Amino acid sequence: MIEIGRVCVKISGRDAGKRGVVIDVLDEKYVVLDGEVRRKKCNTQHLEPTKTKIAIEKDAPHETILKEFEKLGIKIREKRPKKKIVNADSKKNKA
Amino acid sequence: MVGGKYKSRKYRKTYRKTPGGRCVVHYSSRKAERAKCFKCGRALQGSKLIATSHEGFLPKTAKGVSRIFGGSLCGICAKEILKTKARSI
Repeated sequence: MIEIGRVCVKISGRDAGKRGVVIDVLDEKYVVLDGEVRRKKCNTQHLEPTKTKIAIEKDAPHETILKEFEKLGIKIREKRPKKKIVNADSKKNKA
Repeated sequence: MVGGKYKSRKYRKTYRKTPGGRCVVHYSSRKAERAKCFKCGRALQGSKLIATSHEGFLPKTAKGVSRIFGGSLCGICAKEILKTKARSI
């Protein structure tokens, strides 16, 4: 059931309840996930596979997975990059 | 007349008979308890041992873990709910 392209739901941890797709199968115990979850190694006991499967290659980049998830109707919230705080009064910025 | 803080329900009241035959009221603070899972009743992970009267003043991090259902369900019960939800998709 767990293979490359299978959409799974994480059951435990801080990403629990979020959906991700299997990118790589490392061994019997571990896979690599990406999608709503963080791109990370994951134990298969912490996953619940769903019926849907996506046609992707092994180690597919994050951008292609975003497009595939949009077709399924799953919106992924991207983190905003941190703003650089510029201190106008410091000596470095004055010179 | 008792002080103002004893009039609220923050303290437990117990009525005691003295040797002289009088009836007096003893005030004692309530028992401190952990927050519990509403499905199975197990104590929640990450919740602090504190009296229920002070519960509102705790920081967010002391009320549970950062999982989904972190402050209301234990890990085992949350897993069961998420599994059944995933199978219906």
